[in-house]
Amino acid sequence: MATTRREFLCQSLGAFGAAMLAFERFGLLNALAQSADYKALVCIFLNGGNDSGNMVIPYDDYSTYEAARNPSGLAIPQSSLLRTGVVPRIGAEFGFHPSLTGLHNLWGQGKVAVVCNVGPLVEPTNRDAYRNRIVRVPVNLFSHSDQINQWQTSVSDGASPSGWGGRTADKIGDFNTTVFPPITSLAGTPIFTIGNIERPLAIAAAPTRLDAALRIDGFPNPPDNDPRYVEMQRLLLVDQDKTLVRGAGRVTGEALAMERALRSTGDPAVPPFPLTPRTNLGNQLEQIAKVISVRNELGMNRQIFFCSLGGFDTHSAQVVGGTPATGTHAGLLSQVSNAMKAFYDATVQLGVASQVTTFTLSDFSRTWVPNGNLGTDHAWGSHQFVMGGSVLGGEFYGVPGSNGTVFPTLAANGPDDTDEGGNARGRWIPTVAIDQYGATLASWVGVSNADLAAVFPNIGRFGQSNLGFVS
Amino acid sequence: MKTKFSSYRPVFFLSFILSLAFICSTARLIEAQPSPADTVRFLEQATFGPSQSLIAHVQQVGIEAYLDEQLRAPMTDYPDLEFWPQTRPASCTGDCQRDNYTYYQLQRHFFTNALYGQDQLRQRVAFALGQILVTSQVDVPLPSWMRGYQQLLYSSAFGNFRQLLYDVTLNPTMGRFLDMLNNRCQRRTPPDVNVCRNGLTAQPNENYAREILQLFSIGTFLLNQDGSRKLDGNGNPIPTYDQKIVEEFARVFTGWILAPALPGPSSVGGTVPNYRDPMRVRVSGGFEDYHDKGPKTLLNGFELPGGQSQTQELNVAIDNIAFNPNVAPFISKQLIQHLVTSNPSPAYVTRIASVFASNSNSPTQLYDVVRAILLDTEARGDFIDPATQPNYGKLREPVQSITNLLRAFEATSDGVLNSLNVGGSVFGSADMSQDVFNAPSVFSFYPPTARVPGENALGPQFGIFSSLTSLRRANFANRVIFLTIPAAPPNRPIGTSIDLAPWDPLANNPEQLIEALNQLLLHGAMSAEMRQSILTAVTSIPASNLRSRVRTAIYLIATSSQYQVQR
Repeated sequence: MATTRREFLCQSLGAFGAAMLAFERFGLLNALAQSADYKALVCIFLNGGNDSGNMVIPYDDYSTYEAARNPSGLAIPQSSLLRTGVVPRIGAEFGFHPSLTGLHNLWGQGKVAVVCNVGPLVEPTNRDAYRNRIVRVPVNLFSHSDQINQWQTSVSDGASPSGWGGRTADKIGDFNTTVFPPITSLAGTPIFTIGNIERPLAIAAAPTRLDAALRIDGFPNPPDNDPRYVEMQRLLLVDQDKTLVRGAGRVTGEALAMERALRSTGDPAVPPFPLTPRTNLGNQLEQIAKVISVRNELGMNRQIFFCSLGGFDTHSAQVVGGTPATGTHAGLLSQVSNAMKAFYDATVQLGVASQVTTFTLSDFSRTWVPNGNLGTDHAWGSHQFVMGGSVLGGEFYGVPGSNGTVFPTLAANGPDDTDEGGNARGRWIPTVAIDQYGATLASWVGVSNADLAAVFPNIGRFGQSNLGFVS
Repeated sequence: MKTKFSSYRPVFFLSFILSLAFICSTARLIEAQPSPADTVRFLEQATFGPSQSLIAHVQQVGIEAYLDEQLRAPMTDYPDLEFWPQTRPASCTGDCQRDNYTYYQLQRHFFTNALYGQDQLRQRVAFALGQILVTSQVDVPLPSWMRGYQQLLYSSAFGNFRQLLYDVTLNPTMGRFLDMLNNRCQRRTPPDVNVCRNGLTAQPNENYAREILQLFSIGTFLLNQDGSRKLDGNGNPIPTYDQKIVEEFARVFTGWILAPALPGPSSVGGTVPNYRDPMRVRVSGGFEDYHDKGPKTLLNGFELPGGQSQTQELNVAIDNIAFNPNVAPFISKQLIQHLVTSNPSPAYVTRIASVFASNSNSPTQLYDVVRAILLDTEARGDFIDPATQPNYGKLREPVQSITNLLRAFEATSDGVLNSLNVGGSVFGSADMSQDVFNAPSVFSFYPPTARVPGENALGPQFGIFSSLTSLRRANFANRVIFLTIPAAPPNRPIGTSIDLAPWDPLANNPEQLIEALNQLLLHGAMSAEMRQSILTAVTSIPASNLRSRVRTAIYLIATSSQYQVQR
């Protein structure tokens, strides 16, 4: 495949490529991009393993759900569910967890879709193949760190030095007219954000001002004539024979360059943010909306954002005993829904609602059969939300499984369970590979078909590379 | 209030170091006496940072004697916090709320201990162990509930690993954090039946069972003693356990509940949950009615016959885990990575794993292991040649980045360093993604698999080194070198400051100033290019402003990648 300009520059400049590119951008500061051609992906990672079994719940077939989850106190009452109406592709009605009012509202507007039973796969897998060990399955199933890695890298059968967000950024960076990094993180630098070429810019969430979201203290503005600043920069380029020194210098060099790029952005308002009260995820999405609002000044035509929220590892006290629609999980889902809804509304106000697609990832879903502590343990396939003006919402997506629909069969020891026997706990074998879910999103944001296999190296093992949930 | 060390004058310090360097380089007269450079390197690895006084001390007694001293040094404590009700009484506000319902005092004492405690090695090892056997404020809201766990790590840092694993398992904080507390066999009727009925409603909680295997002891793949993975005939790594084994251990870990409640604080009365004592066996009607007494198959096909007491089963299960051959390389390699280098050679791991394994019944097993790590040929020496060992070293983690700078300049500090917001800038340890005792999850602050950006080398601490946190490290340095962290009572009673006056005279001679800082901060490893760069900046400042020269030199070293990487 063709080498992009950025790849060529980075490779030919070697170790200092990115830092040099960072400096290059100042010559381009005033070369404004054409914002008509703007697209952004926003990844929300739900750390810990979100119990999607209590997020999207059968309404018509509520009794199956109730039988599995009510005796241990986890069943969300049917009367409290936010009804979806008949889901076209399933022919039956479902309900969202009652905390998901914002996402339910957008579902009604056709701006939210559900992608069902997604997870890491090495190759297409069903129960017989799994139980008879005639397929390769992801490394260390049911482990947080391994499944998080697989969700973020799309590689489930070994180690990967990069993530699919970063590799997507590698392929779309050329759409941008400057070298502001195409991938920006509000939650550190997890492997999702790391490309083979591109590295993420990590910035602070709101309420930190956007023009202070990266800052170096103690220098005049501009700092160029301060010998200390000059030598600080120079020191980043010496002692390059030491690997860790080189790597640290690379990060700091990019930080110093981008700190200056952000300094001139001001702190644009992005209503309806800020949320009242402020929330962790709301603050991250607010800052993302601000960065999007200055996309022209930064010269951005394609961007990827990463943010995350923890606390989903609900082995105990997932719900409050006796009032299962309240508790830890309800609070987390409420935070997710409110922040996502506000973010969508902000993109409407910014005039980019159809140019921004937001999606969730999570380690795994949780056991259909709970444990004895009002909690659930680690499972596998999970449901995810996709949101945006280009999302073909109000619909479930996926790959039909054992029952002919995209929704798994909700039966412990049933046709989609990894477990057997009377102690089976209901860990659904995914029908959709992360590769397919990610490829759909990457294609939308601008990765060509020719580049798809470079971003998702195993995509060829799965049938559809586009699940059709975003146009 | 903590006070400064006795003040060593840097001028004296420099001449002391240089004269020793001369002695050592001309004739290694005293075998036991370490070189100045190696002394500083050793203290970077073994403590929360070389201070001028400690460098002089270790120079005098030697590294091995210092390690002997550290084994015997009295243990520093965390403050003895009162146990309060889980829900804060309305009457508890202000300092009461801060001290009993936030981690303020624990985190503050963590830093004062690190800055001023004499048991540096114990603390440093406990900090490493706390990032392997993790608990977190995330699920442990009260500081009094966390205190006991951190004390356990202090008291066990030089102890026996099997004993530590057992104590951690029954610790109520861990019980709460990973849900072994109240984990129970389901639906046993009558209560004396030997096995649990198949629970259609619920199953034993798998949380602790999975993480004790994956993170605290053996890891997910069979290892050679050099830390590399064993491979099967097809070249694939071999899992150490499967989901079934996790479920079996989940059944072993049933039946434990909190010890009897403690009396509440006198002003409140009543009783409060007991997060002081180990968890105990739940007994009802004369039976261990929460425990699953059925037979179980553990690691390596070991059969627990069933019918044994809950405590017997736990002991056998902990033995089954702790004496698994994977433990030695799995734990040894991580301790090396926490103290010395992110990319140890296989031979280094083998040597340490051998010490771990051969001392598995020693009451000072972990001390023996740490001593071997620090005395190993791969840890010692004046200079690590980048030509042969380019991947050597580790990125200082945020806590180190903070304490190392403060200790080097004998700072005066109240220890309020975890979370800092001064002058509109944030630069505490938590702001650098290392929120002490409040890791995001049992996977701690950064993954052991994280790589050095743009490189094919491991660098776990780079997992939390980003554009954002990199500049916050620099901003911390800026604040303490050029300004102070001012007192702001009541929560920052004296702030943090360093006194650079003793360094001013050296700044008359910039070369001498830089060389003294090179010895103190970079154990003499500064390259000619780096020296020239700093010299350029320092000499741009007139000699009439000595302090500015001192500050500029320290800032440029402290914020450099050469310093942020301990090598």
